[in-house]
Amino acid sequence: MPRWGMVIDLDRCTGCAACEVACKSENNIATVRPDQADMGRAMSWMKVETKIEGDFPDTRLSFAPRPCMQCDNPPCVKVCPVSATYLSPEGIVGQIYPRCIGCRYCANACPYTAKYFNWFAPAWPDSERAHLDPDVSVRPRGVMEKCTFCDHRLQQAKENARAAGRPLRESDFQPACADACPTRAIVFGDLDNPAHRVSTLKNDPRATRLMESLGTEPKVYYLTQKA
Amino acid sequence: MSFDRRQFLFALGGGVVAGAGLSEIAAGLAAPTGLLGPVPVPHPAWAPGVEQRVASACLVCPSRCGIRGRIVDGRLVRIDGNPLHPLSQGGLCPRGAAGVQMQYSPGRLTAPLLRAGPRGAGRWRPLSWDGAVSLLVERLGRLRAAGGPQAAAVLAGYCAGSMEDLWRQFLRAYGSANYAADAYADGGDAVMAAMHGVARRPAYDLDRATLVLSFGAPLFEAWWSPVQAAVAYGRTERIREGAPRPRFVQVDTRFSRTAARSSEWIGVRPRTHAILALGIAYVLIREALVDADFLAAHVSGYEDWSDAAGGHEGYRTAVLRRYRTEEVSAATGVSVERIVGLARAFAAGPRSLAICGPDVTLAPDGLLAGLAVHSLNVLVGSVSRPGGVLVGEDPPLAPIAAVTLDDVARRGLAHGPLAAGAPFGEGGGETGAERGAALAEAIAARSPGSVQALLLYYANPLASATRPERWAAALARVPLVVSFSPFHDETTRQADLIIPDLLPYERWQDAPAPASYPYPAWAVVRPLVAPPTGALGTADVLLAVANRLGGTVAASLPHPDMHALLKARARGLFAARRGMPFGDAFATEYQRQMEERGWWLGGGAPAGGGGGFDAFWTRVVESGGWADPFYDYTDGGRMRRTPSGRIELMPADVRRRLQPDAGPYDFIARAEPPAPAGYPLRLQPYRVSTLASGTIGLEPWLAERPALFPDVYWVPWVEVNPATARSLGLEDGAPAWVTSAHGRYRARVKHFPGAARDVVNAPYGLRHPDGELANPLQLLDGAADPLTGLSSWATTFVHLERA
Amino acid sequence: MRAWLTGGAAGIAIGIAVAVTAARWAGAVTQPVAFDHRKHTQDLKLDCALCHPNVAVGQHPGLPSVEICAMCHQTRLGTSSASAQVTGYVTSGRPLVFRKLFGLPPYVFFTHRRHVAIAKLPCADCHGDIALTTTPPRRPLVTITMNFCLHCHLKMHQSTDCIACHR
Repeated sequence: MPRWGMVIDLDRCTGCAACEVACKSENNIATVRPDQADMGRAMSWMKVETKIEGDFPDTRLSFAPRPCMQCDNPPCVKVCPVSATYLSPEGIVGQIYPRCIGCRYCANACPYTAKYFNWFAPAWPDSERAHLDPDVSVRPRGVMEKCTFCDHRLQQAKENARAAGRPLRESDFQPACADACPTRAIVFGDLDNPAHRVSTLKNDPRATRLMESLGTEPKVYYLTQKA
Repeated sequence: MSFDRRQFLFALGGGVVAGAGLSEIAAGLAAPTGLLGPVPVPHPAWAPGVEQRVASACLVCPSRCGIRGRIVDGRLVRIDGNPLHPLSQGGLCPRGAAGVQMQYSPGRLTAPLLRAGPRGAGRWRPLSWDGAVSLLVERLGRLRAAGGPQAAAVLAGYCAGSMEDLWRQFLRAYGSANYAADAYADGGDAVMAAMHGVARRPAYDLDRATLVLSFGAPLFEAWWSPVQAAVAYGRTERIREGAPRPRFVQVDTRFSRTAARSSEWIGVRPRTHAILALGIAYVLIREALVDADFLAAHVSGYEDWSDAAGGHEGYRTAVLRRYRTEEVSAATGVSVERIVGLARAFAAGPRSLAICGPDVTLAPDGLLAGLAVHSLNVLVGSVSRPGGVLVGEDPPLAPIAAVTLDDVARRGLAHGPLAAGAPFGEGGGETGAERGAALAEAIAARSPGSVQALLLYYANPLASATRPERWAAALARVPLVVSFSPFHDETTRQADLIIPDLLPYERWQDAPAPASYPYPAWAVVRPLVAPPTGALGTADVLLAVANRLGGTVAASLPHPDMHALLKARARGLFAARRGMPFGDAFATEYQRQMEERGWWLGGGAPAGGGGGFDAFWTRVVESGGWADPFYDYTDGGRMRRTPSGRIELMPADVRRRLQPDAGPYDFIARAEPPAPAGYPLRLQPYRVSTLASGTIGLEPWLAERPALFPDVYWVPWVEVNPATARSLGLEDGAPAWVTSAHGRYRARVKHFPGAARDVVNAPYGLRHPDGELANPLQLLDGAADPLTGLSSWATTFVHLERA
Repeated sequence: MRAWLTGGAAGIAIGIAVAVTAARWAGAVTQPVAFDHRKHTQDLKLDCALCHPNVAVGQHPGLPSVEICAMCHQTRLGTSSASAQVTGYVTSGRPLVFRKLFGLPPYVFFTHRRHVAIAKLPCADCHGDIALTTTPPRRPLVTITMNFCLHCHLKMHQSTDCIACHR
């Protein structure tokens, strides 16, 4: 059984946010009104976090693309009263929208703020419904949503591999963010498969995980010179 | 485009929700009836889900990356990178990925519109496509019949490849030399013209460089190709080249995303980039780190020389005399140690490259500053060698057709362009290219009727011009203004006729890689989705107009449509016996090595490229384009096209145009004027990556995240140092007026420690949610570089007050 | 802001009302032509994929378009009124739109390709004896519930992971 994980090389990230937009396009993420965005209600499963330090001219700025960490010990799963969020056998933390009651406990439990609540019915002008991805739900008002490592792409990749009668290859399944990244800073694969790049990169001396002390066991690793 | 989208967003009410529910149910889907209401679905009707992935190219910025559209049941649902495109290699920027929102924007125009009220009233009458073409034929035909074809003019935004060639050929055959460009420029072409005698913007071998020293070039943001820079930035160690990842060093007055992601960022005082460059040159010369062999063999003007006019000071003397490290340090604010360290690192390379960008060249002495920066490449011999500055070439396309001129055209062309371009302006004087500003001035200054028909192609001068009032005056004097914009903008409001172009995902076009990329790469843009019924792309409109004008105009443009034109031009590639349809990394490298050894085996095809031209064309279209991955570094002559056959460090053409007692490298002697009373802050406009060419509405995905700040959404902002903002009583997020002596606009104040204390960093061309443009260019003082004609973006001062 | 929220709530309420009412109607499907599955699949031995062209490649198998009918029904065949009707559609160029009978909720992501082309399940497993019907059924012959899916998935040792079908 694979254990999907991601390695993000922060020393390669230019903070361009192509991953963010690629994710929004792939996963039908709705846009909220400007004033609601000001209230922090904009949704972005993949979000390039920015940290600015110092003052001109000694300014430093660092970026960290932040998807769902897909924890092996996910705090969000423990608090869900209806099992709408759960850890799949392949290590992806799933969110089942029709089952979600919108209590938002999981959003509060997530230390990475990777879960988003749909405050509104999705706002798509009629003409723009055309570009919605038919492989992914459009979430209704009142449910939580989160990064799924583009699980629908995994389903399709498995289907293609089985149709061709061959095993799933690393290159078959890449989430949208990794696909779009122009510097190839995002690497995706099976953490337990020695043939996949992530399984070696996660042991790189530069590798670190966010808030490891919490014991969440994230499956997203960051590579950075400055630990 | 922004208006309708916004109306929609604000009108999220009961009707919309109920309506959505109804249509889903009508489609026969069992809707759950929980408390949360119906579950919305991507597409209301059932669909087979038949998927295609089609290669094309992105047209939203000059980078022209390869894309692959994911098309499901005829709808474009996603844009991915095309992994076979040699420049972008499958990468994409956020703008490219957001293209699907442009395609399905509710604000796009689908039919030609004829003005129905007075100009600017916004009343329009829809016109049939045939009616629009007929109207254009009638008006342009009448102009020609009256013997005045020179009174037709074209103002084009960023436009390259066959589309530019088509406009030029059309105008030439018609009989006018008035083609003007109003697009992104960074003065690189002027530097190449002055020092190398080459009429082309420089190419940079980023893939092989080990140290990239950028002076104000927004490499990862709004450069010629942010993706080209990103691919170089992210490249893994290349065994073949033995090159580690390049080190990027960013020199600028603005702490940008590029600066943040460079190995080193050097903040300099405003307008002192060139001083720092020459300070580095000083150390290189003093420590004998220059490439003496290269200078002796290929460069003139380094040492002092004398001719009939007397003795002249060479580059070496000029630099040694004026740019002592302590003085440079005092002027730029960069420590002596850093300057020396930078110079030594640049010399040690082994493959160093200096790039200058718009923050340097959009200034009254922009060309000279550009020369100063580029002189570093010449000093270390980083010209025409791996990892250096190169000069690319156009793909060997066949010409559109032979141009034939009748007497009317010949007489019209004899009038020449209406406004003479600047001596080092884009394209020079011969081709008739000139900056838009010069055209506006010429229209306003000449007798009425000097321009009878003005065709605007992706140009919105009322928003993008430095002094929009000049354009407003000019437009008022032109009896027929035609815009080909697919969205309403400031200038379409003043137009008489709008013939909306097809969107980039609906039409045939070509997309040559930008000049910053050293290899000829020619991507084919092809329709991914069906255009609105009956709609014509601007290229097809032009070909139809030419055909119906008849005579020599029709004979010069004999193709029925753009697809036929592109296919005909690709015969040149087929006959060139070089290059290949796009292939994977292995095929491309194989091709490069073969060509390096003098072989061409049919463009990577094992069977010698069999199948003839049609098979070749199919492969080009299906792979996404054609490229030649080989660059001949041994051909140094490509970079030495001056009359002397040498690279001119002290270009004669430039010196001739300076004051008699001035040299090209006198920056430190020129005192920078202080800020005028009442305007204490320097305005530094810049392009944001999500909006490289400015003045359009952002797609919602981009509007949610227009820049590097996680908390900036939708509303235009200006970056101000927190200490400065606090002293003005402006908290983070405060609405403010940015006011110069020439105008003002509204923006939100963003506290940003990366802004210098006396500078306001102002992104160019964003819009407020109500559609109002927030445009710092309209505040500029109107100064320009007399040598390049480019407006100065660095010499305007403003003050801020709460709005 | 408040007005906006109220508007949204009102909209939801209307949406629910409409949905409840419409769901009751949605069960009954009438087809434009009285299509005889038995005639086509049993007597003429036509393959299902002839009229449902995407059954092995797509999510939805596809329903026959008038072009598919026209392959045989250019001229009138047999004596049935339905046949005459089809020929009428073919010759007049009027659009012939068959309606979907089996439906899944929008949050279930099912592909025919996986079940037909890869797992090689017979159509009858989910669609019952549709091939033997002589007139178009107005309701699905099999009620497909999550239980129905899971029963088979467990029997065939296939994934029962939620995100395999819900996303």
